[in-house]
Amino acid sequence: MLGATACPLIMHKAGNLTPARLSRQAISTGCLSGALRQRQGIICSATRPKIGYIQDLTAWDVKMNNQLPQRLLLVLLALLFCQWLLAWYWVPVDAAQGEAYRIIYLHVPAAFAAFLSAGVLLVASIMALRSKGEQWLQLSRASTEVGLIFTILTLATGSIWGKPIWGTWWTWDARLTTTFLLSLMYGGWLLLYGAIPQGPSRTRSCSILGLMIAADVPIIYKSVTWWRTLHQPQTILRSGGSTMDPDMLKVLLAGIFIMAATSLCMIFSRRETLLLEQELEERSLGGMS
Amino acid sequence: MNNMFGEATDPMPYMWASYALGFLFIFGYSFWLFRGRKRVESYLNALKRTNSK
Repeated sequence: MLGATACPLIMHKAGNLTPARLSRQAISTGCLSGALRQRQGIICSATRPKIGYIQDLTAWDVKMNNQLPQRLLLVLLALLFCQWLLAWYWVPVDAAQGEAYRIIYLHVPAAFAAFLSAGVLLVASIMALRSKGEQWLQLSRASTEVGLIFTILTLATGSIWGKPIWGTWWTWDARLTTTFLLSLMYGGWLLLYGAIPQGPSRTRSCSILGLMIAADVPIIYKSVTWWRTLHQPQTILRSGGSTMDPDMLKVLLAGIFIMAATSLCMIFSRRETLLLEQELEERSLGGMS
Repeated sequence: MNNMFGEATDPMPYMWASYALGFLFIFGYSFWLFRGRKRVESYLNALKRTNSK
């Protein structure tokens, strides 16, 4: 239980912010560790009646004002919806697959976004291994979360697309299996991060797994040429140019660009929040020493 | 439309299901990001208000 509820001095000093409300806010934030909550219980003892130990809140104001990724994300979500409208109503129907092919405008951009997240994870993992910095690990965590979202979306939309075209929801095809492996590794990264306490060991373990995740991306990409698969071969980035209709290709490339930018904004927006949460926690605990 | 086995299928429900899922994942995650950020900010502001009293 948060200690603020048991602290009459806080109730007196906090004005319209009642302890119950503060408790609810702190608990609902969901970002504070049990350790911090326990500490707050101690802070609210008679020796520390105010939460006055937190210093340098101005520096946090600067960080809180860095809302560029979030604002960009809003713009990109609007653009993404416009691209979907074009995909539904403007591009011509495919002669072979009919309306079902329109799933490509969601499936392929989502796959590229998942690969881009793995690219960011690769850079962040290398930097985390080199510098042992927690900041890079938070970038890894953000890119893993976003990568997992887009990988699951890729698998789900591919499965839905496969049913009317292939006649099956799933097959252990090389492309599908390696992508499924990617989603498992993304999930495993998050489990590993949660299982190890903060420190060099967590940074090293998560970074090594991050490198392994990034290594899976070229295998996924080349799987359709290395093995005989049910999945269609490369359509856009192939020697001799794309075989798609120019109108179809334009909307697809726009979708890839918008989805890639959206994933980057999601990653950096999430990283900002993670760093803010971590700093809040560290400074709060540091103030007790 | 027929699939590769010659079975007749209506592709429209599959297409809309895909986009509904895409909307749920992308816009849902974005909403969760905005909400998380707002909560951290409100917590910090609560601490600041308490601190300044």
